[in-house]
Amino acid sequence: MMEHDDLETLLRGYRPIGPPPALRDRILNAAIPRTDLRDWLPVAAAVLCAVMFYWLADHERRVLSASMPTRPAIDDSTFVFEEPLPP
Amino acid sequence: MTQVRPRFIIALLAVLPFLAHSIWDYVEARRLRARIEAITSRGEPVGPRYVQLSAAAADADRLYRAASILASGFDLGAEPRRRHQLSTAVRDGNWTPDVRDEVRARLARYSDAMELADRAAELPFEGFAPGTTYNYLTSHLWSLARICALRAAVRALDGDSDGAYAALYSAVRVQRALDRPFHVPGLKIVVERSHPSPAARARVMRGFEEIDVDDLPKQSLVRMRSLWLSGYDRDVVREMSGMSWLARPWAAHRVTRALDVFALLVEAAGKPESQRVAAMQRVDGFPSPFNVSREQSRAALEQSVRGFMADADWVRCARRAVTGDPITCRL
Repeated sequence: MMEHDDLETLLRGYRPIGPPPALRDRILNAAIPRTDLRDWLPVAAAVLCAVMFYWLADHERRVLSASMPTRPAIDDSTFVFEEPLPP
Repeated sequence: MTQVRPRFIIALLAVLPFLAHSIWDYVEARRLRARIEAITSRGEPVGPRYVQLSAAAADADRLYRAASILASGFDLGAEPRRRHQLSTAVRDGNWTPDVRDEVRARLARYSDAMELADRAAELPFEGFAPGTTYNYLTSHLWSLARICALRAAVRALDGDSDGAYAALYSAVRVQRALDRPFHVPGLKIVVERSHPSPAARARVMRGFEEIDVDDLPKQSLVRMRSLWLSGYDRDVVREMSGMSWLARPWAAHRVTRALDVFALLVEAAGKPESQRVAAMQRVDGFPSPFNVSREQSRAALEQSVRGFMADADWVRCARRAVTGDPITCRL
Protein backbone atom coordinates (compact mmCIF):
# COMPACT_ATOMS: atom_id res chain seq x y z
CA MET A 1 0.00 0.00 0.00
CA MET A 2 1.33 3.33 -1.05
CA GLU A 3 1.92 5.81 1.73
CA HIS A 4 0.69 9.37 1.45
CA ASP A 5 4.25 10.75 1.15
CA ASP A 6 4.98 8.35 -1.72
CA LEU A 7 1.98 9.65 -3.60
CA GLU A 8 3.13 13.22 -3.14
CA THR A 9 6.54 12.31 -4.45
CA LEU A 10 5.03 10.64 -7.48
CA LEU A 11 2.78 13.64 -8.31
CA ARG A 12 5.69 16.04 -8.06
CA GLY A 13 7.11 14.32 -11.11
CA TYR A 14 4.22 15.74 -13.29
CA ARG A 15 3.18 19.28 -14.18
CA PRO A 16 -0.54 19.93 -14.79
CA ILE A 17 -1.10 21.53 -18.19
CA GLY A 18 -4.91 21.63 -18.21
CA PRO A 19 -7.53 19.90 -20.35
CA PRO A 20 -7.57 20.21 -24.12
CA PRO A 21 -9.13 23.51 -25.28
CA ALA A 22 -12.29 21.89 -26.63
CA LEU A 23 -12.90 20.05 -23.42
CA ARG A 24 -12.13 23.17 -21.42
CA ASP A 25 -14.72 25.18 -23.40
CA ARG A 26 -17.35 22.53 -22.94
CA ILE A 27 -16.72 22.41 -19.21
CA LEU A 28 -16.75 26.17 -18.81
CA ASN A 29 -19.83 26.61 -21.00
CA ALA A 30 -21.66 24.12 -18.89
CA ALA A 31 -20.51 25.57 -15.61
CA ILE A 32 -20.87 29.34 -16.25
CA PRO A 33 -24.30 30.57 -17.50
CA ARG A 34 -24.10 32.59 -20.71
CA THR A 35 -24.67 36.30 -20.62
CA ASP A 36 -25.66 36.44 -24.26
CA LEU A 37 -28.16 39.20 -25.16
CA ARG A 38 -30.05 36.67 -27.22
CA ASP A 39 -31.35 35.23 -23.96
CA TRP A 40 -33.41 38.40 -23.48
CA LEU A 41 -35.01 38.04 -26.90
CA PRO A 42 -38.11 36.08 -25.81
CA VAL A 43 -38.69 38.50 -22.95
CA ALA A 44 -38.20 41.52 -25.20
CA ALA A 45 -40.44 40.01 -27.86
CA ALA A 46 -43.16 39.33 -25.29
CA VAL A 47 -42.94 42.91 -23.97
CA LEU A 48 -43.07 44.32 -27.50
CA CYS A 49 -46.05 42.17 -28.41
CA ALA A 50 -47.87 43.18 -25.24
CA VAL A 51 -47.25 46.87 -25.94
CA MET A 52 -48.38 46.40 -29.53
CA PHE A 53 -51.63 44.66 -28.52
CA TYR A 54 -52.38 47.27 -25.84
CA TRP A 55 -51.82 49.96 -28.44
CA LEU A 56 -54.07 48.16 -30.93
CA ALA A 57 -56.78 47.73 -28.31
CA ASP A 58 -56.53 51.40 -27.43
CA HIS A 59 -56.76 52.27 -31.11
CA GLU A 60 -59.93 50.16 -31.43
CA ARG A 61 -61.45 51.95 -28.48
CA ARG A 62 -60.54 55.37 -29.91
CA VAL A 63 -62.14 54.51 -33.26
CA LEU A 64 -65.20 53.18 -31.45
CA SER A 65 -65.39 56.20 -29.20
CA ALA A 66 -65.25 58.51 -32.21
CA SER A 67 -68.18 56.68 -33.80
CA MET A 68 -70.34 57.02 -30.68
CA PRO A 69 -72.54 60.11 -30.64
CA THR A 70 -71.45 62.60 -28.04
CA ARG A 71 -73.87 63.89 -25.50
CA PRO A 72 -75.15 67.35 -26.25
CA ALA A 73 -73.65 70.05 -24.14
CA ILE A 74 -76.88 71.07 -22.48
CA ASP A 75 -75.33 74.07 -20.80
CA ASP A 76 -74.01 75.56 -24.04
CA SER A 77 -77.00 77.80 -24.51
CA THR A 78 -76.33 79.30 -21.08
CA PHE A 79 -72.97 80.54 -22.27
CA VAL A 80 -74.18 81.53 -25.71
CA PHE A 81 -77.11 83.59 -24.58
CA GLU A 82 -75.68 84.99 -21.39
CA GLU A 83 -75.31 88.72 -21.60
CA PRO A 84 -71.78 90.03 -21.24
CA LEU A 85 -70.89 91.48 -17.90
CA PRO A 86 -70.63 95.27 -17.81
CA PRO A 87 -67.05 96.50 -17.96
CA MET B 1 -25.50 21.91 -23.66
CA THR B 2 -26.16 25.65 -22.99
CA GLN B 3 -28.05 26.89 -19.93
CA VAL B 4 -30.32 29.92 -19.60
CA ARG B 5 -30.09 31.76 -16.33
CA PRO B 6 -33.22 31.45 -14.15
CA ARG B 7 -33.67 35.22 -14.18
CA PHE B 8 -34.54 35.13 -17.88
CA ILE B 9 -37.18 32.51 -17.24
CA ILE B 10 -38.58 34.48 -14.32
CA ALA B 11 -38.70 37.62 -16.46
CA LEU B 12 -40.45 35.76 -19.24
CA LEU B 13 -42.96 34.26 -16.84
CA ALA B 14 -43.62 37.73 -15.45
CA VAL B 15 -44.23 39.20 -18.91
CA LEU B 16 -46.41 36.40 -20.33
CA PRO B 17 -49.55 37.25 -18.29
CA PHE B 18 -49.37 40.82 -19.58
CA LEU B 19 -49.01 39.52 -23.11
CA ALA B 20 -52.05 37.29 -22.64
CA HIS B 21 -53.99 40.21 -21.12
CA SER B 22 -53.05 42.53 -23.98
CA ILE B 23 -54.20 40.00 -26.59
CA TRP B 24 -57.48 39.54 -24.71
CA ASP B 25 -57.89 43.31 -24.49
CA TYR B 26 -57.40 43.65 -28.24
CA VAL B 27 -59.72 40.77 -29.13
CA GLU B 28 -62.51 42.13 -26.91
CA ALA B 29 -62.08 45.66 -28.26
CA ARG B 30 -62.30 44.31 -31.83
CA ARG B 31 -65.41 42.29 -31.03
CA LEU B 32 -67.12 45.27 -29.42
CA ARG B 33 -66.28 47.51 -32.36
CA ALA B 34 -67.70 44.91 -34.76
CA ARG B 35 -70.96 44.79 -32.77
CA ILE B 36 -71.34 48.57 -32.66
CA GLU B 37 -70.55 48.88 -36.38
CA ALA B 38 -73.14 46.19 -37.13
CA ILE B 39 -75.77 48.23 -35.28
CA THR B 40 -74.90 51.50 -37.02
CA SER B 41 -74.73 49.80 -40.43
CA ARG B 42 -78.39 48.81 -39.96
CA GLY B 43 -79.21 52.44 -39.29
CA GLU B 44 -80.11 51.79 -35.67
CA PRO B 45 -79.10 54.25 -32.96
CA VAL B 46 -76.24 53.72 -30.52
CA GLY B 47 -76.87 56.91 -28.60
CA PRO B 48 -78.79 60.13 -28.58
CA ARG B 49 -79.83 61.24 -32.03
CA TYR B 50 -79.44 64.77 -33.20
CA VAL B 51 -82.81 65.59 -34.61
CA GLN B 52 -83.58 68.90 -36.21
CA LEU B 53 -87.16 69.42 -35.15
CA SER B 54 -89.56 71.17 -37.45
CA ALA B 55 -91.06 74.39 -36.09
CA ALA B 56 -94.33 72.74 -35.09
CA ALA B 57 -92.56 69.73 -33.56
CA ALA B 58 -90.26 72.05 -31.62
CA ASP B 59 -93.39 73.65 -30.15
CA ALA B 60 -94.77 70.22 -29.25
CA ASP B 61 -91.44 69.40 -27.61
CA ARG B 62 -91.41 72.43 -25.33
CA LEU B 63 -95.16 72.23 -24.61
CA TYR B 64 -94.86 68.61 -23.51
CA ARG B 65 -91.82 69.37 -21.39
CA ALA B 66 -93.59 72.30 -19.74
CA ALA B 67 -96.76 70.27 -19.21
CA SER B 68 -94.81 67.36 -17.78
CA ILE B 69 -93.14 69.63 -15.24
CA LEU B 70 -96.52 71.01 -14.21
CA ALA B 71 -97.90 67.47 -13.95
CA SER B 72 -95.03 66.22 -11.81
CA GLY B 73 -95.94 64.93 -8.41
CA PHE B 74 -99.57 64.29 -9.36
CA ASP B 75 -101.47 61.99 -7.06
CA LEU B 76 -105.09 61.52 -6.14
CA GLY B 77 -104.89 62.66 -2.56
CA ALA B 78 -102.65 64.11 0.09
CA GLU B 79 -103.51 61.52 2.72
CA PRO B 80 -102.02 58.08 1.85
CA ARG B 81 -105.04 56.04 2.93
CA ARG B 82 -107.49 58.13 0.95
CA ARG B 83 -105.12 58.22 -1.98
CA HIS B 84 -105.06 54.45 -2.02
CA GLN B 85 -108.86 54.27 -1.81
CA LEU B 86 -109.24 56.67 -4.71
CA SER B 87 -106.64 54.88 -6.83
CA THR B 88 -108.38 51.58 -6.23
CA ALA B 89 -111.77 53.07 -7.07
CA VAL B 90 -110.47 54.55 -10.32
CA ARG B 91 -108.72 51.32 -11.27
CA ASP B 92 -111.80 49.23 -10.58
CA GLY B 93 -114.13 51.67 -12.29
CA ASN B 94 -115.97 52.29 -9.03
CA TRP B 95 -116.71 55.95 -9.67
CA THR B 96 -119.01 56.96 -6.84
CA PRO B 97 -120.05 60.65 -6.67
CA ASP B 98 -117.54 61.18 -3.86
CA VAL B 99 -114.72 59.74 -5.93
CA ARG B 100 -115.68 61.81 -8.95
CA ASP B 101 -115.82 65.04 -6.93
CA GLU B 102 -112.50 64.39 -5.26
CA VAL B 103 -110.79 63.53 -8.54
CA ARG B 104 -112.27 66.63 -10.16
CA ALA B 105 -111.03 68.81 -7.29
CA ARG B 106 -107.62 67.25 -7.52
CA LEU B 107 -107.44 67.78 -11.29
CA ALA B 108 -108.31 71.47 -10.93
CA ARG B 109 -104.79 72.13 -9.68
CA TYR B 110 -103.41 70.79 -12.94
CA SER B 111 -105.45 72.82 -15.40
CA ASP B 112 -102.30 74.51 -16.79
CA ALA B 113 -100.68 71.15 -17.52
CA MET B 114 -103.83 69.91 -19.27
CA GLU B 115 -104.09 73.05 -21.36
CA LEU B 116 -100.52 72.67 -22.57
CA ALA B 117 -101.09 68.96 -23.29
CA ASP B 118 -104.16 69.89 -25.37
CA ARG B 119 -102.11 72.35 -27.41
CA ALA B 120 -99.29 69.84 -27.91
CA ALA B 121 -101.78 67.16 -28.97
CA GLU B 122 -102.64 69.18 -32.06
CA LEU B 123 -99.00 69.37 -33.15
CA PRO B 124 -96.73 66.77 -34.74
CA PHE B 125 -94.28 65.19 -32.32
CA GLU B 126 -90.83 64.16 -33.60
CA GLY B 127 -89.05 63.66 -30.31
CA PHE B 128 -87.43 65.81 -27.68
CA ALA B 129 -84.63 68.19 -28.56
CA PRO B 130 -81.18 66.75 -27.77
CA GLY B 131 -80.02 67.50 -24.27
CA THR B 132 -83.45 68.32 -22.92
CA THR B 133 -84.42 64.93 -21.56
CA TYR B 134 -83.73 63.77 -18.03
CA ASN B 135 -84.45 60.77 -15.87
CA TYR B 136 -87.76 61.92 -14.45
CA LEU B 137 -89.18 63.20 -17.73
CA THR B 138 -90.84 59.87 -18.50
CA SER B 139 -92.35 59.72 -15.02
CA HIS B 140 -93.72 63.25 -15.41
CA LEU B 141 -95.13 62.42 -18.84
CA TRP B 142 -96.90 59.41 -17.36
CA SER B 143 -98.42 61.73 -14.78
CA LEU B 144 -99.52 64.05 -17.56
CA ALA B 145 -101.15 61.22 -19.51
CA ARG B 146 -102.88 60.05 -16.34
CA ILE B 147 -104.23 63.53 -15.59
CA CYS B 148 -105.63 63.82 -19.13
CA ALA B 149 -107.19 60.36 -18.88
CA LEU B 150 -108.82 61.09 -15.52
CA ARG B 151 -110.18 64.35 -16.93
CA ALA B 152 -111.74 62.32 -19.74
CA ALA B 153 -113.40 60.00 -17.22
CA VAL B 154 -114.75 62.88 -15.13
CA ARG B 155 -116.14 64.57 -18.24
CA ALA B 156 -117.73 61.31 -19.38
CA LEU B 157 -119.41 60.95 -15.98
CA ASP B 158 -120.62 64.54 -16.28
CA GLY B 159 -122.23 63.68 -19.61
CA ASP B 160 -119.80 65.75 -21.70
CA SER B 161 -119.09 63.16 -24.39
CA ASP B 162 -117.16 65.31 -26.85
CA GLY B 163 -115.21 66.87 -23.99
CA ALA B 164 -114.37 63.38 -22.72
CA TYR B 165 -113.13 62.29 -26.13
CA ALA B 166 -111.14 65.52 -26.51
CA ALA B 167 -109.41 64.82 -23.18
CA LEU B 168 -108.94 61.19 -24.20
CA TYR B 169 -107.30 62.37 -27.41
CA SER B 170 -104.80 64.43 -25.41
CA ALA B 171 -104.04 61.42 -23.19
CA VAL B 172 -103.47 59.19 -26.21
CA ARG B 173 -101.28 61.79 -27.92
CA VAL B 174 -98.99 62.06 -24.87
CA GLN B 175 -98.08 58.44 -25.59
CA ARG B 176 -96.13 59.58 -28.62
CA ALA B 177 -93.60 60.95 -26.15
CA LEU B 178 -93.51 57.77 -24.05
CA ASP B 179 -91.49 54.64 -24.70
CA ARG B 180 -94.48 52.36 -24.50
CA PRO B 181 -98.28 52.59 -24.57
CA PHE B 182 -99.95 54.00 -21.52
CA HIS B 183 -102.91 52.00 -20.22
CA VAL B 184 -105.37 54.88 -19.97
CA PRO B 185 -107.19 54.66 -16.62
CA GLY B 186 -110.92 55.14 -16.87
CA LEU B 187 -111.06 54.38 -20.59
CA LYS B 188 -113.83 51.85 -19.98
CA ILE B 189 -115.99 54.52 -18.31
CA VAL B 190 -115.30 56.94 -21.14
CA VAL B 191 -116.32 54.55 -23.92
CA GLU B 192 -119.34 53.23 -21.99
CA ARG B 193 -120.72 56.59 -20.92
CA SER B 194 -119.90 58.75 -23.93
CA HIS B 195 -121.72 59.22 -27.18
CA PRO B 196 -119.32 61.49 -29.00
CA SER B 197 -119.73 63.14 -32.34
CA PRO B 198 -118.25 61.24 -35.28
CA ALA B 199 -115.51 63.85 -35.58
CA ALA B 200 -114.48 63.54 -31.92
CA ARG B 201 -114.48 59.75 -32.16
CA ALA B 202 -112.53 59.73 -35.40
CA ARG B 203 -109.84 61.93 -33.88
CA VAL B 204 -109.29 59.51 -30.98
CA MET B 205 -109.30 56.57 -33.38
CA ARG B 206 -106.55 58.26 -35.41
CA GLY B 207 -104.59 58.87 -32.20
CA PHE B 208 -104.72 55.19 -31.27
CA GLU B 209 -103.93 54.17 -34.82
CA GLU B 210 -100.73 56.19 -34.67
CA ILE B 211 -99.44 54.44 -31.55
CA ASP B 212 -100.55 50.96 -32.63
CA VAL B 213 -97.44 50.02 -34.56
CA ASP B 214 -96.76 46.39 -35.38
CA ASP B 215 -93.07 46.41 -34.53
CA LEU B 216 -93.46 48.18 -31.19
CA PRO B 217 -91.43 45.52 -29.28
CA LYS B 218 -88.60 45.84 -31.79
CA GLN B 219 -88.66 49.63 -31.58
CA SER B 220 -88.71 49.45 -27.78
CA LEU B 221 -85.73 47.11 -27.70
CA VAL B 222 -83.73 49.22 -30.16
CA ARG B 223 -84.47 52.32 -28.07
CA MET B 224 -83.63 50.46 -24.88
CA ARG B 225 -80.29 49.35 -26.32
CA SER B 226 -79.52 52.88 -27.45
CA LEU B 227 -80.28 54.27 -23.98
CA TRP B 228 -78.22 51.53 -22.40
CA LEU B 229 -75.26 52.30 -24.67
CA SER B 230 -75.61 55.99 -23.91
CA GLY B 231 -74.99 55.25 -20.25
CA TYR B 232 -75.89 57.44 -17.32
CA ASP B 233 -73.49 60.36 -17.71
CA ARG B 234 -71.33 59.05 -20.55
CA ASP B 235 -71.60 56.21 -23.02
CA VAL B 236 -70.34 52.72 -22.23
CA VAL B 237 -67.28 53.05 -24.51
CA ARG B 238 -66.07 56.22 -22.83
CA GLU B 239 -66.97 54.72 -19.48
CA MET B 240 -64.72 51.78 -20.34
CA SER B 241 -61.80 54.02 -21.30
CA GLY B 242 -62.01 55.61 -17.89
CA MET B 243 -61.77 52.38 -15.94
CA SER B 244 -58.70 50.44 -14.86
CA TRP B 245 -56.79 48.99 -17.84
CA LEU B 246 -56.83 45.65 -16.08
CA ALA B 247 -60.65 45.52 -16.03
CA ARG B 248 -61.24 46.82 -19.58
CA PRO B 249 -61.29 43.48 -21.43
CA TRP B 250 -63.81 42.05 -18.99
CA ALA B 251 -65.97 45.16 -19.27
CA ALA B 252 -65.81 44.98 -23.07
CA HIS B 253 -66.66 41.28 -22.93
CA ARG B 254 -69.78 42.00 -20.85
CA VAL B 255 -70.94 44.78 -23.17
CA THR B 256 -70.40 42.57 -26.22
CA ARG B 257 -72.31 39.73 -24.61
CA ALA B 258 -75.20 42.05 -23.76
CA LEU B 259 -75.22 43.39 -27.33
CA ASP B 260 -75.34 39.83 -28.64
CA VAL B 261 -78.42 39.15 -26.52
CA PHE B 262 -79.95 42.44 -27.66
CA ALA B 263 -79.30 41.45 -31.30
CA LEU B 264 -81.10 38.13 -30.80
CA LEU B 265 -84.02 39.85 -29.09
CA VAL B 266 -84.32 42.54 -31.76
CA GLU B 267 -84.27 39.91 -34.48
CA ALA B 268 -86.92 37.86 -32.65
CA ALA B 269 -89.06 40.94 -32.02
CA GLY B 270 -88.96 41.76 -35.73
CA LYS B 271 -90.55 38.45 -36.70
CA PRO B 272 -94.21 38.20 -37.73
CA GLU B 273 -96.52 38.46 -34.76
CA SER B 274 -97.51 34.79 -34.82
CA GLN B 275 -93.88 33.74 -34.28
CA ARG B 276 -92.72 36.69 -32.19
CA VAL B 277 -93.42 35.52 -28.64
CA ALA B 278 -91.93 32.05 -29.17
CA ALA B 279 -88.86 33.53 -30.88
CA MET B 280 -88.28 36.02 -28.05
CA GLN B 281 -88.74 33.37 -25.39
CA ARG B 282 -86.10 31.22 -27.07
CA VAL B 283 -83.50 33.90 -26.38
CA ASP B 284 -81.62 32.92 -23.28
CA GLY B 285 -82.00 35.85 -20.92
CA PHE B 286 -82.35 39.59 -21.01
CA PRO B 287 -79.49 42.11 -21.15
CA SER B 288 -78.70 43.80 -17.90
CA PRO B 289 -76.02 46.29 -16.90
CA PHE B 290 -75.78 44.48 -13.58
CA ASN B 291 -74.53 41.07 -12.58
CA VAL B 292 -77.64 38.95 -12.45
CA SER B 293 -78.12 35.22 -12.19
CA ARG B 294 -79.35 33.14 -15.10
CA GLU B 295 -82.71 32.70 -13.40
CA GLN B 296 -83.09 36.45 -12.84
CA SER B 297 -82.16 37.14 -16.44
CA ARG B 298 -84.68 34.57 -17.62
CA ALA B 299 -87.37 36.07 -15.38
CA ALA B 300 -86.61 39.54 -16.76
CA LEU B 301 -87.05 38.21 -20.29
CA GLU B 302 -90.38 36.58 -19.43
CA GLN B 303 -91.57 39.78 -17.79
CA SER B 304 -90.52 41.91 -20.76
CA VAL B 305 -92.20 39.63 -23.29
CA ARG B 306 -95.39 39.63 -21.21
CA GLY B 307 -95.21 43.42 -20.97
CA PHE B 308 -94.77 43.87 -24.72
CA MET B 309 -97.66 41.56 -25.49
CA ALA B 310 -99.91 43.16 -22.85
CA ASP B 311 -99.18 46.60 -24.34
CA ALA B 312 -99.99 45.42 -27.86
CA ASP B 313 -103.19 43.69 -26.68
CA TRP B 314 -104.26 46.75 -24.72
CA VAL B 315 -103.79 49.15 -27.64
CA ARG B 316 -105.75 46.85 -29.94
CA CYS B 317 -108.52 46.49 -27.39
CA ALA B 318 -108.62 50.27 -26.86
CA ARG B 319 -108.80 50.83 -30.62
CA ARG B 320 -111.79 48.53 -30.88
CA ALA B 321 -113.42 50.11 -27.83
CA VAL B 322 -113.27 53.68 -29.09
CA THR B 323 -115.03 52.71 -32.30
CA GLY B 324 -118.11 52.18 -30.15
CA ASP B 325 -118.42 48.48 -30.96
CA PRO B 326 -118.97 46.03 -28.08
CA ILE B 327 -115.71 44.47 -26.92
CA THR B 328 -114.81 41.24 -25.19
CA CYS B 329 -111.22 42.18 -24.36
CA ARG B 330 -110.23 43.70 -21.01
CA LEU B 331 -109.48 47.39 -20.80
